[in-house]
This record gives sequence, structure tokens and C-alpha cells, in this order.
Amino acid sequence: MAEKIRLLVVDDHPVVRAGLRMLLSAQSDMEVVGEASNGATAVERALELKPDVVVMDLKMGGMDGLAATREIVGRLSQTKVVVLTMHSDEEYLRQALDAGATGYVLKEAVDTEIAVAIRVVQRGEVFLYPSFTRVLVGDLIQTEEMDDSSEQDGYGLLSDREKEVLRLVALGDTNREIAERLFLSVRTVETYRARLMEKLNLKSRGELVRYALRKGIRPDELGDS
Amino acid sequence: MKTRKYYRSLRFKITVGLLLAVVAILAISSYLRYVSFRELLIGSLALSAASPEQIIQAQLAAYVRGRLILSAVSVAVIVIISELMMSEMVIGRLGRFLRAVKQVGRGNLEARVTVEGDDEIAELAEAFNRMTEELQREAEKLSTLNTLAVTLGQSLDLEDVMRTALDEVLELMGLGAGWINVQDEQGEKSRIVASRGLPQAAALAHAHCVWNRGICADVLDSGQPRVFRGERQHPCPASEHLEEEGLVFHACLPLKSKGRVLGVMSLAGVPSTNPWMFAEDSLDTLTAIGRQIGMAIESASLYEELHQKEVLRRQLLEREITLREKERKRIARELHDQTGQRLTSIIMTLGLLEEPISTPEAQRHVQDLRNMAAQVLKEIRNVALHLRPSVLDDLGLLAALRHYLKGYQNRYRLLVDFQALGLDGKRLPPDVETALFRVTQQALTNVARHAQAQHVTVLLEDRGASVMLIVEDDGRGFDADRVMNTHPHEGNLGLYCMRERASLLGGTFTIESTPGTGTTVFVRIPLEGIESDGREDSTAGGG
Repeated sequence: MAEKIRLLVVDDHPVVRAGLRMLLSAQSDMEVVGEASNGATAVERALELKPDVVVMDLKMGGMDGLAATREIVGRLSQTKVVVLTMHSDEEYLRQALDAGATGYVLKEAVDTEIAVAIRVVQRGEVFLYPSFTRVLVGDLIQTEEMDDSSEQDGYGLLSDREKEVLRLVALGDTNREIAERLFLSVRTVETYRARLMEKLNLKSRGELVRYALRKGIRPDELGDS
Repeated sequence: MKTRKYYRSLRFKITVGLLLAVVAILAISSYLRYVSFRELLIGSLALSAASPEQIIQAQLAAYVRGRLILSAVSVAVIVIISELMMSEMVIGRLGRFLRAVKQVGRGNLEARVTVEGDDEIAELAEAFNRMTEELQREAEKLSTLNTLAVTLGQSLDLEDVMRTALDEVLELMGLGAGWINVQDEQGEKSRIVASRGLPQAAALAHAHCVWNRGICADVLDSGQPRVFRGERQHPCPASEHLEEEGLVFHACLPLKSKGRVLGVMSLAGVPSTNPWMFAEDSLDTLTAIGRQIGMAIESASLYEELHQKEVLRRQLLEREITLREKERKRIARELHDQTGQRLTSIIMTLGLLEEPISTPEAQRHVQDLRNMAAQVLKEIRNVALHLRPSVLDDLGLLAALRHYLKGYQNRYRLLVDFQALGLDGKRLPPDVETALFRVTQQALTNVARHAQAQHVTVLLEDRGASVMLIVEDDGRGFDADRVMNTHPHEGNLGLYCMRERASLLGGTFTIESTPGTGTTVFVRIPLEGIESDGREDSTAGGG
């Protein structure tokens, strides 16, 4: 029989630790070699035990799971980390992956997925909770769509007034502020804005700002005037 | 012009009338003389026997002609002289009178008519001069009150208003010293809210002066102004000290509003009296001044009250918002930490139970239980998220907004273009993050509910000294000015909440929308002066 996967279980809730120990010990190819209830202890125990996989809760008192993950992965090249959390928020996933975790399991699926995840990361692969994969792919597609939009350039078609209105809208001025600055009525500003957006084929303020940034019409970083 | 024409025609008529009258009188008297002369002549001729009647007749005729010519010439001379005299006596004086009337009409109240002679015209002139003087005094009074009203309207700070009012009154009356006492709300104590030219000792004496005795008390009780015309008396404990400074107490005015005396203004000056103060009707003016200042006191204190209530309202609101967020956070954490972990443990235990159980029915039950527990865990997570997304506390505004927008887009099938500038890896003060998150939530909820928009943009920009949030849609819009100017009600409460959130952090909230043009919400919150210590407490964890 092959060597068992040596595990370190990190969670600040004793009931969860106990459950995990029970669940994982039932797997014939796994062995829980240690437990920790917070990030700092987790790093200590990991350095001491050099486990194959650490099952890590994301949020704990004191040093949090993210920092502990970063530390462990940074110092023990052979040790993998599976994050076990209640948070389905994609932001936590990004952070966890950024910290060096290669597995991400939600607590609601712990019984069916944790053992699978441990085996997958042990092989050097990545295990993500299935619904996340869709999220990440969707992100890629969306980002590409955005970058493709409105490259046609009608800047030369704009009048001086329209250019000025474009710049001020991109800076985040209200229509009233623009009207006061240019000695126009609010209505006229609205008209200029509608016309320039049509000429530049811009659909929203977001596109307008992006356009202005790309063309250098407004700086990337604004200090308050 | 009209009057001049009238005088000219009058003069003409008088001249013609006089001329005719004189001619008629002379003609009659000449005829009478002629008759008596003829009788005399005939009588004397009868005595000296007969002479030719024709000769007499001719002599007589020649005499009458000469008489008539002489009469006519003298009449003409008389008429011309009397005409010149009339013209000087009546028309000339009336003309000067007219000029004075016109000057007064143009607003020159200094204009007077010189009184000549003792006829009716002179009487008229005197009456006119008296009237003009009266008018001048009234006008001065009005302008005093007007200047005062303008001054009083310039500020709502009690002491500020009282200081300027006092200065104004002293200057208008040419007085050197004065002070204003205002009663406290219970009407038990008074304090000097403004004073000018009041010697230190007098001020002290006055401050020690018990409110319920002395002249102040009289004025307070009666509500009537008191004016002292140089009498040697000590109506006020301060007056002895005033005298040392060469000042005398002149007047004490009640400052009234709606019949209630709110304070007293005391005026003093050098003994060489101010004529204005001692005019017969100065009391009326003083009363009017007192009333104006009284009303100013009332508005100032009402404003102060309003201001204090506003401060209190903001404090309560701030506390309410902070408490609500805190409570939501607490419940969300509780759900995560306690309930969530127990459910996790249950799921794991049930997962373990499944295998050793032999009967398929029991196995199915365990499976059901396990699924139910997983479902409850999911629901709890959503409830907690709805209460307060932990990602906001753990990872910050940017992460929280991204996460929220993802759910929003799925829920409403509406694509949101989200851009964050100058915020990468930065944390804003927790209050600011919470406020901006909640405002975005509210604004986007409004878009989903009302806007029927095609495009939605959320822009977040850190500009160093401030952070700016813009939420814009291209939906159907509404009359934002009208809605924001109506009192808070069901329909615009969300907008008010956003505005309050921003204003509690010293920021601004602007909404621009007209029907058909979409809606833009602008929020700007200053960051300077707010401590930016990154995240809130991240203790009490739990995954």
C-alpha cells in the first residue's frame, strides 16, 4: 500500500476539526497528523510536521488563513493547501489562489469534495469548487468583450466644445458643474454629451471614461484640484 | 406747464375785467359830470340873457372828448401798475411756492418756503413748512428702521445680530454707549449679549444688577420704553459709573416679539442731548426699533434651536446607522461562526454515517438529511451576505462591489460596467467603505426597479483627498429636482438615505435626472482628516 497522505487540519472551531478528523481518518489513504486552531499555530505545526496537505480555514482569530497559507506555501515547497471555507465569494477565491492555495472547497460540500480535493492537489493539480470554474471563465470572456468595444475613432469629428464636455464628463463633473464652467445651460451640456457619444459610438459613461483614459484625455490618476 | 398756462390766462382775465370795470365807472361819472355841468351852464346862461345854443353845445362836446381820452389813459396806467403789483404779490410768491412743492415732491425734504407778509399765502407757506418738517422726521424714522431691518436680516447668530443692531442704533442716534440684555428661556436671568462704550465698572455693576429691580425690571414689566430727558436720577445701577465717564442714561427700550419682552436695550451718551431722542414722537420710533430687535432675537433663538435639533438629528442618525451596521455584522458573523460551523460538522458526520448503514431506506434518509443541512448552510450564507457581506470587512470595498455586482447582474440580467480608478490594493476608512457600498447598492436597486435601463455604469475613483462614486444609467429618468425637493416619503426615501449617508461623512450627494435622459448619482466623500487605518477589527474569525 502506498504511503498515506499526511494532513494538517486548521480550523478555529473544535467541532469542525473533530468532524474533519473523523471524515479524513475514514479515508484509507489519509492520515491526520496534526491540528491547529489559528494561523500562527498552523505555520508552526506545518514547519514542524511538514504535512503533504494542509486543510485551511480562511478566516480565524489572530493571523488569518490567507496569511498562513502564503507563509506555508512560501516556506514548504512540497506542502499543498486546500482552503475549506463557507465563503462562496469569488473574491475570497482570488485571494486564496493568490496566496498559493491550489484547492478550494466549500463547507456545504465538505463531505463529498474534501477527500477528492486533497487527492487532486496532492497530485500537483488544482481543485476548485465546480461553480467557480464557470465564474472564472465567464470573467475571461467578459473582459475580452469589453476590450474589443468601440475602437473606431471619431475624435476628429468633435467640435472644440464637445471635446471640452467629453473631458469634463470623463473627469466626473456633474452636468450642472460643466454648464457653469462653460457658461452653458444644463440642457445644452446634455445635448453636447449625447452628440459626442454618438459620434464616438459610446454607449455609457463607463465607455466614455475608458475612451478618455485610452486617448489620454484625462490622466489615469487624479489628485484633487 | 399746465399750472403756468392757467396762471397766464387768469392774469389775462383779471386784466381785461379790471380794464372794463374802470372804463365803465369813468364813463358813468363823466356822463354825470356832463349833465350837472350842462345844467349849471344853462342856468348861468339864462341869467345873462340868451347866447347861441350851438356854441355851448360844441364847447360841451369838446370838453367831454378831452375828458374821455384823459380818463382812458389814466385807467390804462392804473391797470398796468396794479397788474404789476398783483403779479409780484400773488403770482411770483405762488411760483416760488410751486418750486418748493416740486422739490419736496422730488424727495428733497430740506426744501422750505420763505414766509413773507401775513396774508393767506404766508399762512399757507407756514403750514407747508411744518408739514415738510414732519415728513422729514417720518422719513428719517423710516430709514432708521429700514437700515436696522437690513442689518438684522444679515445674520442669525444672536450675539452677532445684537452687536450690529446696537452699533446701528447708536450711530443713528449719535449716542456713545449702549448695551443689550437678553432674558434666558425661563425669564429668570439676563445676560449682556452686546455692549458698546460701556465702562468696565458699569458693565460689572449691570451684571450684578438683579434683573428684577431697577429700570430694566420696569421696562420688562410694562413693555414700555422709558426715555430720560436729563433728569438727575439713577434708574440703573450702571448709571453712576456712566456718569464718571461723562455719560448719562438716555433710554431703556423693551425688545419685544409677539407681545413678550425678550430683552432690554439701554442707551447712554454725552449729556449734550441728542435732539432726535427728545422729539415728541421718539417713543414711537423707539418702540418700533425695540420690536424689530425683539423679532431678531426670536428668529436667532429659533434658528439656534433648529440648529441644535439638526445637530442632534445627525448624531442620532449617525448612531442609528453605525448601530445597524454593527448589529448586521454581528448577526452575519454569528451565522457564519456558530450556525455555519455546526452545520458543517453535521454534514461531515452525516457523510460518515452514509456508508456503514446497510438498509437503502436508512441510507436515503441520511442522504436527505445531509442535503438539507447543505441547503440550510447555503441559505444562511445568503442571509449573512445580505445582512452585511463579510468580504467588505475582510477584503474591502472593491472586492465587495465586484462581488455584489456579479450577483446583481445575474439577478436582474443587466450588465454593469464597473471601473475603479486609483483604488488598487487600497483600503478606505471603514465608514467610507460602508457608506459607498450601501449607496451603490441603493442606487443600483433603484436602477433595477425603476429605470428600464440598457447600460449601467459604476465608477469609483480615489483622488487622494476624496473618493468619488458615480452610478449612471441610460434609463427613463425622472424629475430629480422635483423629487428631491419634496418631503421624504415612501417614493424618495432611498434618495434621502443616500444623501444622508454622504453628508454624515462630510460628503456631497448629487442626483441629475430628467425624464428621458437617464439618471446619474454623484457621491463625493472627503478623505482628508479621516483616519485611514485600513480594515476594521478582523478578530472573531471563522470560515
